[in-house]
Amino acid sequence: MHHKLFPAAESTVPTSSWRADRLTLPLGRRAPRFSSRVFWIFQALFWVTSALSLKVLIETFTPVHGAAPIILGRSVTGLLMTSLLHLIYQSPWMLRAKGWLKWPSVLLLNFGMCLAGAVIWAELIRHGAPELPIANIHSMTVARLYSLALWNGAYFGLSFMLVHQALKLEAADARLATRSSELKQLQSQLNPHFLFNALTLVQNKIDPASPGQEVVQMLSDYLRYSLATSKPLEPLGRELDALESYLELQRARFTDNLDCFIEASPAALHVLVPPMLVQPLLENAFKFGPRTSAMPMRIEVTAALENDMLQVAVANSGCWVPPGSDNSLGSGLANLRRRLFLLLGEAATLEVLEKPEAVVVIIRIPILSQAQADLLHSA
Amino acid sequence: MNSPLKTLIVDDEPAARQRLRVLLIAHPEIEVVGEVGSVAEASAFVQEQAPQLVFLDMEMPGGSGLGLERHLSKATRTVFVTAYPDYALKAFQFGAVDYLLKPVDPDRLAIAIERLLGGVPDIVPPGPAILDCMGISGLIERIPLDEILWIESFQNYTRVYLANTKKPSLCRQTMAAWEALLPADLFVRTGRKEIIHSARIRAVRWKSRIETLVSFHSSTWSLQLGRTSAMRLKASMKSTAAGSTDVSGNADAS
Repeated sequence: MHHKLFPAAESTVPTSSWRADRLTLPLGRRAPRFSSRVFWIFQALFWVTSALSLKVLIETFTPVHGAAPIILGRSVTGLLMTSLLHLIYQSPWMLRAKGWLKWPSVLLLNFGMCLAGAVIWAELIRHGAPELPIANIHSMTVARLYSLALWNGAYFGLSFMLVHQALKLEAADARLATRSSELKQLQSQLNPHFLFNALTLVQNKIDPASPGQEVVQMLSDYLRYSLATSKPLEPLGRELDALESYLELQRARFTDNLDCFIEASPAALHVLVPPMLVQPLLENAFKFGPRTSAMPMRIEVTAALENDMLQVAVANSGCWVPPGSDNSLGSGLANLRRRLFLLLGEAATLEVLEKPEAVVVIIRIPILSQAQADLLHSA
Repeated sequence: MNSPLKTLIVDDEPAARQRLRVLLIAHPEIEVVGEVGSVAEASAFVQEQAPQLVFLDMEMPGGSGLGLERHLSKATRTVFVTAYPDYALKAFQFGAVDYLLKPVDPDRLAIAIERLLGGVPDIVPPGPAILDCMGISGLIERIPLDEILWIESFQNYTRVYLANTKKPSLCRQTMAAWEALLPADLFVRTGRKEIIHSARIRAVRWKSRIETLVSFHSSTWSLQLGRTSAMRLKASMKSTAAGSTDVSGNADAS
């Protein structure tokens, strides 16, 4: 009998297709490009404007009595015709049609509409409608052609804009999906169960009284925070706890050349913030501080409530290194800014202050209730 | 304490069991009577020996630690030990006394054991607004509860630090007497040496692993805490957050 040596290999097929599904899901979720709401607003605007301008034109050049019902009639028939055109344009056949087939069809449809209008108008005159100087078949048909051309121009212009915007959003979604899947992959490479058991093993191997015990402990605490699957918002206290370990590890690196503290008011610890809010700022401080600061380098993190906002400030000795110079990419701060904006909107701000011998970065965040945060989470 | 608590360690990783066993040597109140590597072995052991305390891993091949619940008698208490902070809420629904993260931190373990042995009073009686304390000279001093920042032990006496004063008051009361007198929802005993008025805290400044400074509203006094005291203070600050589940230490109910 034939045994499979690696039965697990079969399971890779459903896994990969599942991953592909997850990646494409957000793309398909986009709203229809030309929603009916947008279309009817567009129609109303277009035909009201057209009726008003027609009225002004007639009153200026050929003032006649009895023009009002004609203007009204033309606007209503125009509205009906173009709504019919919209229905045809949005039909699956038209949406799928290639350009060489689509545009001649559009032209044909419009001429057909005009012709039908002219025929109906001729019939109306034959049955006793008054033929005013502004309402003879010739001028009416030309005017109709003009107005249809105008409508088509506006319609396709608008739909092009909407499609363009939707594509941009989809591209952003796709980037986000790739980014988060990359992160997931990185996290799964460092399986926490494996990692923390390995670190326990290290602790067992070193002398219980050795300072190495504490180093491993702090490393574990920091890694636990940075690897944990996190919610979009978490209490600030959780990050500050992890940063104590982070700074303690840095202190071991810098020995006497580092003077730092984290200060927080009790209320600030409970404010919900995006995770990894302060860490990128500390990382920046440790990147540029040693090159631009006198020793010992000073780093101060303070968090407190001010005017109903959470204010987190990270101050470090040294000078501001502008993005683009001296291997500063400026990506750390830019990323943080974007994350704040995406999660909390314009209410959250990030500000960089250059002091004579120090750089201070101040983040201000609105205080959300748990319910508001949950809402954000589900969105 | 009387006889030590008979304790079982359940974890599939030998390294994790060894770590816990070594750390528990420092706690004579705990006696490890068994070590097993799965829920199945644990349930057999529990039926035979009826341990008073179980250190329980969550994620084990052959079944989650949560599966042990139906085999445990009501008298048995549980402390979860796991690599994942995400299970905290489940652990407390299970009725666990505490929740420790791997690798287990010795100071954090000490707090868990303290919690286990002492327990926390459920109902807090409202305290008086003004306390009488026996001064060192034998005179009675009247101390407004609101004004107390913290109380610390000083030889056989205690020192009371008040807002808007230049010198702490020296009292004959012991720490235990103070602890019994002060409302436990406002005051937190962070260690052998100090009781802190938590509502008065303006900010907590962490300077290093061994040095944390507490500053207070309308006062220039500041109090220096060691590591375990700082951990206890933070745990109590977390538990006072409206609507949050207290997990304390480095774990969060998230």
